[in-house]
Amino acid sequence: MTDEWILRKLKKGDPAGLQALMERYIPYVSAVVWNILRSAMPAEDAEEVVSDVFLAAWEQAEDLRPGSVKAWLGAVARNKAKNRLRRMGRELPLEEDVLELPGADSPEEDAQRAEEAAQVRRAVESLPQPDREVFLRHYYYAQTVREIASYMDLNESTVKTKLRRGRGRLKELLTRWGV
Amino acid sequence: MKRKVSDLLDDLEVTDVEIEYSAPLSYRRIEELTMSKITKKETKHRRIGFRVLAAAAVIAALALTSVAAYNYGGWFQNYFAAQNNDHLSEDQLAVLEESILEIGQSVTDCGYTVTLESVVSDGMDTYLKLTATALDGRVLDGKYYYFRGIDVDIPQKPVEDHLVGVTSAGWDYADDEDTTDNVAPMLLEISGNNVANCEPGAVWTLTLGKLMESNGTDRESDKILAEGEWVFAFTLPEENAGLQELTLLTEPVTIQAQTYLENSSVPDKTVEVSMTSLVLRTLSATCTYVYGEGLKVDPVTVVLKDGTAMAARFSTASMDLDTLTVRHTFSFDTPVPLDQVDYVEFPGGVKICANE
Repeated sequence: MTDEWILRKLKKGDPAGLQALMERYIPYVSAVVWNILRSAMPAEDAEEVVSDVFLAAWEQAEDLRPGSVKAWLGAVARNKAKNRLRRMGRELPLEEDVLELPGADSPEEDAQRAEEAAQVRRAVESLPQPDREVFLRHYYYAQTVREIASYMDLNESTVKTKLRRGRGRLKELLTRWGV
Repeated sequence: MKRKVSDLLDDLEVTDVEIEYSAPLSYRRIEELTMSKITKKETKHRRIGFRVLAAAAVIAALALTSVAAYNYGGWFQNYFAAQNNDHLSEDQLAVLEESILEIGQSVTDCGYTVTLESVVSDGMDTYLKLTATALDGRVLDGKYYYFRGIDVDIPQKPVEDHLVGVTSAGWDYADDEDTTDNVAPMLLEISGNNVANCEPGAVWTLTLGKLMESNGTDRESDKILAEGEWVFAFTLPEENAGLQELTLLTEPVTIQAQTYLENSSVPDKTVEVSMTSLVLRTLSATCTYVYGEGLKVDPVTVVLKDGTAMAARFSTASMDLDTLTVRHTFSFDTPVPLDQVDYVEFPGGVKICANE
């Protein structure tokens, strides 16, 4: 069964499409949500968040495109989990998560947000491998330094160095582009 | 200004980093939660979920083989008898015999021949007996076999636009008489969409995706035996005895029911409810009643003329927002001989006679 088949079903409002979507992507979406929420709530509550991600896919099926279903689900899962964490007054335990950037507050208008998102994407894509993977594992998927070191067979100090380098590069480019 | 790196990445869609899947979450519970949420929303949003496929075109493209009809009735007799202490009455056996539709279609894909052997349906609840045969001779040794990725297209009788139903399907345990051969029996149970029966004479299609093998412990450890596409098409003829109905109410009656507080499984209080329709079928019953907050009507019991009581179990429910009524469908574990029904009893003692 392909993503195209799943999307056809979803867009027709056919529950079989949702069932197939879950069968394919539940492990991934669960991993994204759990990485972010594991220190803040029991598994049962995180299951509710995962369920909400698939409900979003059901309701916003028109936004899904073949080839980017997994990425879409990952982004929605991450944002829903982060929002839940924020509502609980908690923060992600990340390495030096704050960047000092010149300029005004975060953009409020859609056009500005889209512009900033495009520049962030370009900046992240400009990171060399494996620095980019280390950077995304930590700041996007909320994996700990120890987990990343283990998964990628690196020293923890090497992971921290790559994270520092990634932050520096991001700050440099965003500053240059005037974000 | 200060910005969080993790917030800057909010609009990113990452495609090239594969992360490890080790979350200790119950995938089964997530699926159940999600499906229950969409069922509720389906009712709320009044979406129409009916589908009609041009089945002939789909089937033509596949290697579909019809085989000679065998007598599959015995298997279903054993199955239904097992739900009732290994006993079916003569009347039940007669209904079953007249209802069983022998299909005998086989489709081969990915090293497995799947055969849709026979179907028993009352137009709302349907049982499909299938077998999977491993062509390499591999022994299918009595573990639990089923398919993930089921698509069932059932043409429905026309209904008003505001009525909504969701069809669900699940696999039941099918007894394997020979655990040393390369054949595994399977039983698919489809709960109708609660809004309308199937259209007699129309073509049903069943598409199966992944053949799974389970050791019966947890779904996460189930193994995919083959990932292919097995498509079947069949018709329930209008004269099939299983499609009979018995309409029991000509005017509303008042029954007793329970109300439940949100997220509670314990009844809160007993209230009176106006029931506006009740239809009996050979495998299910559907009643309609006026909506009330937290209201749930418990399953009915059918009593036959010889005094046999047949208890139903709850299957599906949906709400009609235009008329503020609720439709409940109940399922029976064994076939109901409609011509032998004396009355239907609701919890609280209200009886509705079949001859009124």
